[in-house]
Amino acid sequence: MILRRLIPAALICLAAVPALAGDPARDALLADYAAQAKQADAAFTGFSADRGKLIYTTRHADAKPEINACQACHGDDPSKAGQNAKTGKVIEPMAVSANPKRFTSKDDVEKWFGRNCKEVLGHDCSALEKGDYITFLASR
Amino acid sequence: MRFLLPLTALCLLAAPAFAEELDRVPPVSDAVVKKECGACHLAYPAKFLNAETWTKITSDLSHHFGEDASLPADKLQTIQAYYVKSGGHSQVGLLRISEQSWWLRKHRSVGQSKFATAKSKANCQACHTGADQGQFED
Repeated sequence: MILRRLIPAALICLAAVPALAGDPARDALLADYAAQAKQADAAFTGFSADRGKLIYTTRHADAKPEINACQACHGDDPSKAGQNAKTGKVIEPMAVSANPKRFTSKDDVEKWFGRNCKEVLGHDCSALEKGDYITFLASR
Repeated sequence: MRFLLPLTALCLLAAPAFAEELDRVPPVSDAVVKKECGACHLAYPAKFLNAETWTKITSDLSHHFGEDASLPADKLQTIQAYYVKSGGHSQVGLLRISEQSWWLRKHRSVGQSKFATAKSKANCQACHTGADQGQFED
């Protein structure tokens, strides 16, 4: 009898999980970065949208002036479209709320972190930085 | 009539036939080219440069006009093959489309303010709204 009640309840719970967690591909990517972050630092407890925001907004004196921060191309408001500082091409919003496709392809995410971290931050991003950054933009 | 025919012929000869050809070109048809090249700028129609120049450009994407645009080998190969196969004519030694004499001639009367609004000569779509369809007549 109890089981008969439990099964529908469990089904409801399972159905609710993806809705709360967002895109499964993005979640898998974040889980992957979390595992890497944990491996790099056993004290890792989770990603932080606040730290991610700092990555997004910090200006880097060593970078080329027109691309000295993420927001130089992606805009002060990540929920709006940005513009490539060099070519003028429109860049779709970074915020997941405005552009649900963001951070759902590992290849794309790794390509852009690979190019832009070096160019803007001056170093390859760590798994912690990547996870924080995505967490910030997934919260926007 | 006797004058008209040679005159017409002259006009036709004088018209930069090649440049007119480039007013309407096939847009990039390859999905990888469209996505990867089109991520930072218009995926430029292959006819704008010759195969040799495309090879030069795509052979050094880590130094792509001052940017690191490097790509994994499989994607690079697709892009290179597409442009080499579909390339047109262009002046030897000039890597930029906007350095080609036909490009310069066609943009001679375009004011600085218009270029400033477009931000870059790379941003065709700022003025040519049909650029991604290969339409550059306007």
